[in-house]
Amino acid sequence: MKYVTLLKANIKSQKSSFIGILTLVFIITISMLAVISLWMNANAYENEQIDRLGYGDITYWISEIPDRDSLLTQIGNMEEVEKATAEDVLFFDEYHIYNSADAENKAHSGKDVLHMHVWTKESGYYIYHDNLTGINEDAEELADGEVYVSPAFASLYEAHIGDEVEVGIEEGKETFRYTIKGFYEDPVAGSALMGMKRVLLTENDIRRLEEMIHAAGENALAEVGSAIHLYKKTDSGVKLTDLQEALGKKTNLLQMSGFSYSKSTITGFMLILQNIFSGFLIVFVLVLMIVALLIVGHSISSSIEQDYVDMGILKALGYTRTDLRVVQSLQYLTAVLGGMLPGIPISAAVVKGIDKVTVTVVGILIPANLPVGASLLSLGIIIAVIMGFVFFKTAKIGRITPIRAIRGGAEDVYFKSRMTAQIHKTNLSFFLAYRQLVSGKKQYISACFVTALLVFFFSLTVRLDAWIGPDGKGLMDSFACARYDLGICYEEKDIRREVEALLEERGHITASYQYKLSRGFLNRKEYLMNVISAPEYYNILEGRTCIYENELVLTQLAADELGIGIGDDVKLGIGDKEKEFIISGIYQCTNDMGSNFGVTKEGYESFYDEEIDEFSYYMFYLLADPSGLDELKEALMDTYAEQLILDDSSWSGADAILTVISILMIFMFGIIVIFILVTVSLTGSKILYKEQHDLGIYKAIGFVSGKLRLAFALRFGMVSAAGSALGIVLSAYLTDPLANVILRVCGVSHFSSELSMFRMFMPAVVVTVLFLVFAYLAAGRVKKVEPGILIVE
Amino acid sequence: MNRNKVIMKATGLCKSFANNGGQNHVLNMIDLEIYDGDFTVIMGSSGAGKSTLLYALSGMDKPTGGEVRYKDAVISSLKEKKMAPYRIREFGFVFQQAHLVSNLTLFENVAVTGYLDRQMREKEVRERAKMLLESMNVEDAADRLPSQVSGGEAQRAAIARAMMNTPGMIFADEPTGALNKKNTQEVLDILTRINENGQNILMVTHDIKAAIRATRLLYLEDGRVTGEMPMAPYRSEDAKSREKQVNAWLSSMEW
Repeated sequence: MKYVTLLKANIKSQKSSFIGILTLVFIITISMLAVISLWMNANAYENEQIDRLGYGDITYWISEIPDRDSLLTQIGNMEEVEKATAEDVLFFDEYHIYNSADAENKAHSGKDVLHMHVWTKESGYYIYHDNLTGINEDAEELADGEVYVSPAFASLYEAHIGDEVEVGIEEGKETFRYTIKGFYEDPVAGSALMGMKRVLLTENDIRRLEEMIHAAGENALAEVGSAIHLYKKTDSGVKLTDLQEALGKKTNLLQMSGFSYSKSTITGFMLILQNIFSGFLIVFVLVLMIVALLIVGHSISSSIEQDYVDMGILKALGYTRTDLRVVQSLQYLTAVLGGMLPGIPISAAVVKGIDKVTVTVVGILIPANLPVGASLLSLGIIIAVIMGFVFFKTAKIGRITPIRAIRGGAEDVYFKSRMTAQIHKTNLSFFLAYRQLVSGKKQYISACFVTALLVFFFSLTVRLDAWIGPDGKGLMDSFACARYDLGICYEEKDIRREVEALLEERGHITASYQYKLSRGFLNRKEYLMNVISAPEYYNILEGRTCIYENELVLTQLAADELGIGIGDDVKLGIGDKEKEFIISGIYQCTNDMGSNFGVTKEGYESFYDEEIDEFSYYMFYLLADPSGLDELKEALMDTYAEQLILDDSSWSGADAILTVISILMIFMFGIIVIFILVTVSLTGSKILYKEQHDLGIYKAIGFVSGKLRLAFALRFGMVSAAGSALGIVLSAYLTDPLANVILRVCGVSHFSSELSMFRMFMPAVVVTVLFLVFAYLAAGRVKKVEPGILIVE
Repeated sequence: MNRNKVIMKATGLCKSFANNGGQNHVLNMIDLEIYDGDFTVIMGSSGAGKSTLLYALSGMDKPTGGEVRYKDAVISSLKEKKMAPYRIREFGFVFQQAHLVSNLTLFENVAVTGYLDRQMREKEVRERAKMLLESMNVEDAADRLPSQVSGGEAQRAAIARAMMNTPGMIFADEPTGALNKKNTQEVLDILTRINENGQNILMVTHDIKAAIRATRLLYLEDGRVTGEMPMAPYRSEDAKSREKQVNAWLSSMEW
């Protein structure tokens, strides 16, 4: 009972601190639980769904297997393999989506390959409700001519139910359109950030198309193939690279045309966005936690100063140091729990909201339920950290003695500061603000560090935004292995001559080179392979580009994966040949989440005895003036739609990631605003309380509230300007390495942001202005301070 | 008796405080005139409303009824912004505690009042602040903070501050209440001297040694002015006789 009375009184008298800390913990709880849910649920759910759909440890997508059953038996008989299964797939290199709502019924071209699978209720694929809010347990059977697509079609091609997916079997022949009946959850390629897309059709439609593809023979634009799912033995400790090597030796699987993804690669692709999102949220939660501790520290110190006399009196009445510390601790614990408890259910709602917003990008609906164990553990850690800090900070209560308290308590005694500047008539408010600031520096330290951290964090998002670029160009450049503005795959020489003349006229070609995307094996592990005729355009990070035929460059991630580096030898396998290559450098290319390498055109062609068709390469162009690229592409498509394929270095996931980054930035900015508001109101209210005597004096000699409020706000402006400067320095040194860590999950091994002066200083200016404005508003209570405060009756 | 012109006038001045559901009338329909050149001292028993009257007259506190005119302008109903010029140029305050801004030096505490006055340039302000501190005999402590000087030095600096803008009236509320004997004497000498130089002073005190400095004494009881005694200008050699005179007057007021 002795604690309850004091606790109630303390909460009542320090209502603003109580509410402020409660708010901070509320935000931290939501952010923390959201990141835990996103991270853990996304990983668990994605893996669960891949397993449920029967995807093995590695999946090979292969066309035209001569004898699939015997291949499966061969693989299944390997000692490292548990089992191998197969699924029918139709592969299309081209497809279009027709929007029924569009009056012109204009088509969106598919950005990569399209796989068609059979759907039955037993196939295990989940169908979403039409509004994408959850799984529709009673999904209707597909009729012939209907198709289920992943929600990524909505973000990539603005597809709606009722729109059509069109494929062709033979050039210039009849095309086939399938009406989108709904959206299904695709845990394999559902992410909008993945090029490959999969759709589900009826068995009848699949068989019909299969027959037509076979009938078209060599002229077919599509292929009939299989997805081979390979499961390694659960007790086998064999590595996937060793398993692949064994497959190469014991079967002819690797010689067949196709590509493969391990389960972890699929998961990695699918969860790129969640991982980036979670990474930023983790950093954000850490920043918020430090900010909260700074504010709690300031609040405790100020409370002790404010209640110094009361505490002395309580000690005189028999309360011990422990009693008073317990009361203080209980007070903060109440605020912490008060923020945490409502934060728990709200975090589930936030995750649900994030899910809803991002489902068309990430392709799966991540469960919004909180992982109980991890959530409790994280909340326990938050409580332990804050309460440990409170206990540490309240130690000074022990130094309060009744006699000292009664003799005047902890009244401020100001000492001259070396930083003191003379007060002048002009800009009096500024000079007074500066004096007040240097006289009570300690009070503003927390606000200064809070600013630094917030500016640092804000800069991190701004730098990320700058790196991505306004239209995602920066991001796309990092995905590309080499710089280019436009890539064109020609079908004949004359067309190339004509098109290049047009490019020269409209954009002026500054450079051009040949490019091909293929796959190869490095030390028997399959990787995506870039081939270019002008290796000087590779984005080299370390070492040098590959100049000679037997040299290659690879990403840092691939190098780490293989345990090799610059100067090392590596076995490069293409087709059925294998040669020794030397690693000449590390380059940046985020394709395949950074698992790729690059060679010279000569190096690549050395694997083939016959001459490679020149038109199997893309021509990549760099233009002096790429501003008219959109019109240029339109003109090319109008004239040469049938004779060339365009690649403008745009990336299917760019729009999606830009949307998510925008949401992320708005969210972060909102939280930053709330934190500044809480910091200012907490720090400001304590300072104003402490200074009300001086404020009374100022008013008595003729100062008006406006001038005093301005001086008060200027103090915070100065503190936040100093903090911002620190934040800018911190961000200059730490943001790139930190972003590197976060972005490594999507294959960016080298994040380097270049900021304009505006972008560099913008976070500092915004944060400083917010501090100023909030401080001015918080100082509104100056109006209530009357000179009468000085009256002693 | 010849009187100088009225510089301040209160009419029907009231101040009430809510008290346990009722009203406590601290000032009760006071009519009062303060004359130019006077050193007016308000005395009265504890709780009589002396300080309340002082602050109601100075505009530091709002009366609940009546009005206060200063140089013919009603000041009792002025809002903060309109009152500020009076506080800057017309009124100076000396409190029981020095009430100096804690993080400004004594010099700055004095000068900052001058900086508010648009009619003075910074150089003039600094020179006047220096001169005032010298005249108060605290020039050696000018660069010290209030926490680094004695109570007497702080109070003298407070008087210098009150005089900075050559105000029409200095309001002093028990200015020697927190001082020792020596400092009390020094502060009273200063107040007497500046009054001799023409400075109007309205002071509240319960100290007879302070009261004898007055040229006019007012007695306040139960929120009303119940007595008044004019006095000749103070001369130190008359101190004893003035003390007797004031004592006798106070006795007649049943003090």
